[in-house]
Amino acid sequence: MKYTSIIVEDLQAAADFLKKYCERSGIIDVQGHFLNAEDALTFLSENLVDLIFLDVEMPGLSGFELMDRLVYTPQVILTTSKTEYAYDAFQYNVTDYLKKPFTYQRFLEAVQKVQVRKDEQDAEAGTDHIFIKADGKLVRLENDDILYIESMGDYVKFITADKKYITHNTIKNLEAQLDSQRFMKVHRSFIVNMSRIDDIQENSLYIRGVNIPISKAHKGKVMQRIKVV
Amino acid sequence: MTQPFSTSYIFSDHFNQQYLDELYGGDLQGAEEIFQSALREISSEMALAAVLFDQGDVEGVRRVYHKIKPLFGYVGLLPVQEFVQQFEDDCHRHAATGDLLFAFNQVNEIILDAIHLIREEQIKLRTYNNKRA
Repeated sequence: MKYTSIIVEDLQAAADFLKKYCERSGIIDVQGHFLNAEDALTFLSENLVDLIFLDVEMPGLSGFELMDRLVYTPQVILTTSKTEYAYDAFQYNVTDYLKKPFTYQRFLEAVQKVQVRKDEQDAEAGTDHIFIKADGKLVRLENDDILYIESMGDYVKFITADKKYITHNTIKNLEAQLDSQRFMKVHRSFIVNMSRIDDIQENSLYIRGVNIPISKAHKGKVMQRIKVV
Repeated sequence: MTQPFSTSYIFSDHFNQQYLDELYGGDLQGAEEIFQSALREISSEMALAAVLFDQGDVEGVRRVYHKIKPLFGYVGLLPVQEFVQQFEDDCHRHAATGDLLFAFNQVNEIILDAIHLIREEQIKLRTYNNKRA
């Protein structure tokens, strides 16, 4: 498996050095190098990556401020020349912390941690629930209870039978993270729980009386997924 | 576990051979490129530091030295990296550039010497790599 990544680093030589290690590993695909956090965020708003190699002190936003602004949670390996950030790194739950310069052996150890965490995340994705950040806490939602998810710009609304939760996220990101056996994107603004669809008419589906549009682009896949006898 | 490559290239005495072997694993072409880009970045950042120092911007000066500090590690000049770290610490302790003048001149002298060494080594590496090509 290859991991998609970006490098956010204001030092060109450090980025070049890291790119060489990534190439040598054969499992890290570097999709871009950004000299500041703002440019990286622009890229990340339109592209999903598995991993970010992130410097901390940069002109403009710091690496930590970048993480605060992410709407999804790729793994992060901090690359910095200071050890003082270790506590913050722990707080942000980064995968590893590399002090520049680092050897190839140390780099490989970090990559192994990425693999371990990915395996854990994959195992977790197979469970019957998710956690979302809402109302200032992490709320557990059973997959079964979620009826559908609706986009609200930079936010999404989770609709369950008895409650609505609004959280900072995007449909695109959720599509990648939710259990694909159960959930399906049917429109750029909607993901639905396939087991909760009541009926389908023309270009709409209904869940508990709510009309949810099915886009032309998704209609074919929706029809393939439902069982018509 | 990856062991450092044993290379036939011998870095000059000022450079930490074992450390560079570990970093580059025998990729001397890569080492040459990093030496070259390190030289370019150190030189341009030094010019910026001089301007910021004249403006009395201690935090700006600190950030410049923080930025270039690892470059001395990438080229195996670990004592210089350590010295730049000390200057960065000095910047944390002093609010005015006037209090830093001596340390500023001292660190710049060391860096100028380092630039000379890196340039010499980069030429030596290039010559070696060209012969091998």
